[in-house]
Amino acid sequence: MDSWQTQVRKGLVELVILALLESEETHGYGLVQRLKTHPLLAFTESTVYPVLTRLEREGALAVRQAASPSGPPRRCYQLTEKGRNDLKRMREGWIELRTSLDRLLRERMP
Amino acid sequence: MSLAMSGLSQDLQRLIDARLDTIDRMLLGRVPRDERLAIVREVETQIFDLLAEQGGDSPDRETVLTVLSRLDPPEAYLPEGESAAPRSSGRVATSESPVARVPSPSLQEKRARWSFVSGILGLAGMGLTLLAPIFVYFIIRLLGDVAVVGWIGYAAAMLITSMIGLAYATVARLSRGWAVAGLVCSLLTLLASVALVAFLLLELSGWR
Repeated sequence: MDSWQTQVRKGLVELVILALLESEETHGYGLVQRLKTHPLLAFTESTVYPVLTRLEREGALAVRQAASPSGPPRRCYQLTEKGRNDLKRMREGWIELRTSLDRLLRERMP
Repeated sequence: MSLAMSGLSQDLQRLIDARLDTIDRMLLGRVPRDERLAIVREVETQIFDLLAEQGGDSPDRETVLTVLSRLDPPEAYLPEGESAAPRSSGRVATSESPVARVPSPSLQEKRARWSFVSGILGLAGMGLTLLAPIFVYFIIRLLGDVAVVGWIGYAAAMLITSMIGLAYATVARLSRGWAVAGLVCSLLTLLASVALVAFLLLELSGWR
């Protein structure tokens, strides 16, 4: 992957995680597994877990401990009201950005 | 403390704990404590989920090593732009040390600045000390009867410079060479200023 793509992806981690958690509560590893179904957004656990814990600290996510069949209790994440507002704001921002960039690229096409 | 999965031997649990401890060390001092613990707990949960996926209630050493090899390396958890080197020189935080204090980068920068200021003040004090005989001579020649005032003023300048230099060296915790130099020079300047005042008093008693 090109370095610029890598940089773009890095800026999207938070938006991607919030968007995935919009529909249902998920635990950390479950989130990583769901991301694998989106090849260009397949962030690994070392990227996802720190962002999850930071979003929790910032109040965008709520955490619930759930029993796990295989080991220690899982931390299950879901969006808070703040998280939903953040997601809405970021989604709108992304659409604006994408629209502007598409327009610019169309204008510059040979 | 990690919960042992049923059938997981102590040796295998130690393998898992070693990986978790390494990640913990990578994050120590770099992220807030509760985030660090949460990240390690997430990785632990993932390890046990992966072991369960591999099948069986009693994974062997090969299975545990395979699962661990599928994880991101501990260095991947470092915040971007940081290396795996210890955050403070001469001290490595370990999971065994209950208090592993690593100064934050801003505190380290402040101490470096304080060290430098202490060093400069110390050198300035030494300059004042070395030039004291010349200035005192000129003070006596130029000010005459009121030379005492100039003399005390000069000694006060030396004293103040040395005291501030000592203060900065103290808050810098002598963490740099500048701070050590500032401490030594400030102490010498302090002694010199005291000697200057004592000499003045002797002169005054002699004038009477």
